[in-house]
Amino acid sequence: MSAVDVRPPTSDDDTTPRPPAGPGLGEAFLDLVDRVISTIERWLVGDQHGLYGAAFARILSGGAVLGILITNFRQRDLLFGPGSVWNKPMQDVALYWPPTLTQNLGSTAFLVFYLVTIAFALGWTLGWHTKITGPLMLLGNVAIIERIPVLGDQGDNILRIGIFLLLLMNVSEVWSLDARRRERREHVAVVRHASVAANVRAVLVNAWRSQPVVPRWLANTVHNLGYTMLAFQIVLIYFSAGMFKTQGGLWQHGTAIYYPLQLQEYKPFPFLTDLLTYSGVVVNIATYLTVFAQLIFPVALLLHLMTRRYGLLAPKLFFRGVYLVIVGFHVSIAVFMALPWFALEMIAFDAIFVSTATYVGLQTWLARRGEGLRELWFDVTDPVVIWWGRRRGVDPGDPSA
Amino acid sequence: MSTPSPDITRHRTEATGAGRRSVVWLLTAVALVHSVLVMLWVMPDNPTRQAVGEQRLQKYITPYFEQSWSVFAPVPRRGGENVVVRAFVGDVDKPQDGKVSPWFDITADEDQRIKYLVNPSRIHSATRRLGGNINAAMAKFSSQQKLLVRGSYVQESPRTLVERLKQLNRSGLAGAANIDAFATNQEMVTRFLSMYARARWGQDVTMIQFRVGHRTVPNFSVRHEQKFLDVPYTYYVFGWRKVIGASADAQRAFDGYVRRAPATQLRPVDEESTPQEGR
Repeated sequence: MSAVDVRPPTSDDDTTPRPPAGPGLGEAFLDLVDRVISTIERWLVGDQHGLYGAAFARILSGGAVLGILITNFRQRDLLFGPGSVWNKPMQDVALYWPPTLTQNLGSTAFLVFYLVTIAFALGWTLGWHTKITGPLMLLGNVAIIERIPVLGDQGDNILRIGIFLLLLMNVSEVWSLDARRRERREHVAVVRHASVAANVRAVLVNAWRSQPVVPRWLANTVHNLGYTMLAFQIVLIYFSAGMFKTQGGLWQHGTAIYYPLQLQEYKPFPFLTDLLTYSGVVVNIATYLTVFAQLIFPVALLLHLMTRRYGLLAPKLFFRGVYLVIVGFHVSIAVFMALPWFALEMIAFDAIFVSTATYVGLQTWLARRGEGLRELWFDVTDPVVIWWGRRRGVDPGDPSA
Repeated sequence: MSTPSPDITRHRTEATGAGRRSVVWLLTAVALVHSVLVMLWVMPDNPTRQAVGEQRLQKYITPYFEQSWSVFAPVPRRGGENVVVRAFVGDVDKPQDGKVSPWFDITADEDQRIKYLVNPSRIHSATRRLGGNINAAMAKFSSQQKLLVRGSYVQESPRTLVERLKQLNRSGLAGAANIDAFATNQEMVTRFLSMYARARWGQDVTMIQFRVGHRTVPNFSVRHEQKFLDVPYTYYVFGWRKVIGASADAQRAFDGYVRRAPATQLRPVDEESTPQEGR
């Protein structure tokens, strides 16, 4: 028998199973980075987010473009057409190229250009071939509006930037003619061994039918990045506007909103303005609330996004409160300051912050409330559709089905 | 049947493949850089913005992402401007034989047009913007420079005025830039008023004269005693300028907008209204 080994057992000798040693700090950090990267990738590539908000932003931003163009329609020649020559020194050093499209147009040609841009804006608003009408509307709008930079304002800037970012997104998934067409017309497959001409044709047909033409992973990524960039852009607007206001003595004093409201161009209803500014306390609260809501908006949003998975009520209500103050602030700007299109633009881009669940709930509620109205609509339109179908020799079936 | 969650769409897919992931991250990097540059541009001046460099930022931002959100801040707008014009009808070489119109406040006319209008056209702010720009430039001029712009420039080109203003410039590059801004706005207001005056007093208008007013909203604390509309304007008066002609299409646009004045408004020139060249 061999001598008893009296040495204490070493790790080499120990055959008892043990749990594996925990990862080092560096490994844990790398794991965390990996998890963060995977989460970001999943969010970017996995699906398209905020589709209802994007669709609503499309409708309202299109409404703003239409509003601006229709409001200025009667004075179009004076502002943007041949009569805009009074602005020549600034037109000569213009930074944008789209206005060169309209610089040599006579009044009739300019009228056609103007009407075509209105038609594109209408198409974008209704969701008709948005990938075509959207860019053309943006181009037309910049070509018209930037003919007269001296009369431009920040509303033009946010409209241009906001619509550009919306163009990266899928804005016609719902509440659009594109969505209706997509349901009715099938996707044409692009076949690997088919001829180039056949595949190009398939892509064009798909594009016209609002069916997917780019790979899903790429479309999702571009949509979600556009969504994030637009959200960040809007947050920046509020935060920087709030920061500038905190630097001003009259904003600190709580009376700043009184001063611009006295100017004639921002006082369409003198009685309403005088009523609002009569009480110092009301002016004070409105001034402070404006600064507070703008500064706190990013914080409220971030808090809501970080806590919503836990179903916490307080951050959700806080965000909704701040959001409603912001929207109320824009509605006030529209009425009290006669700036309806700027207000509509901001409300349009704010729409992306409303959750899909809220939009779906609102849609269901409206559908239920509007059932009678819908029936009445189809009672009126069905005979017309049937008559038109018969004229074309097509049996339309039940058009309201 | 259960309703599918609205958060899951037909676009659902998986992120696969190193090539695709590289594209995703490249696009993300572009979006991130864009967003950071915009952030630096819109925030109040700060050391990070200075480190990146104003010109570098501007190169990326302007014109397509141009924006500024210091709207009504830090100082809210509290100044109102107006532009008042009168016209001369007759031969510019024989000013004593011509006729002159009364002064007409274009901005006051616009005020009447926009009352109770929640969606005014942009044209209603034209004289306010032009007047505001002219006033801003004038405020930076010396007393001598201010005297110069009061002179008439009919036989001489307005460029002569700009050259003389530059000779009197004692404020370096900033002063020169201000003169350029004045020249741009003076030409714009002259062009605007030329077409406006011809639409109001007829195609025979050969000279126009204008003045640009400014008034300030009284302090909030005296809002019940002093009304903004009762505050008188303080004017910069400019000498006579030769009208700048425009195409028939351009003039027609003004003719369709401006209210025509009765011909009886025109009166023979007197000593006060005779153009005084370059003085």
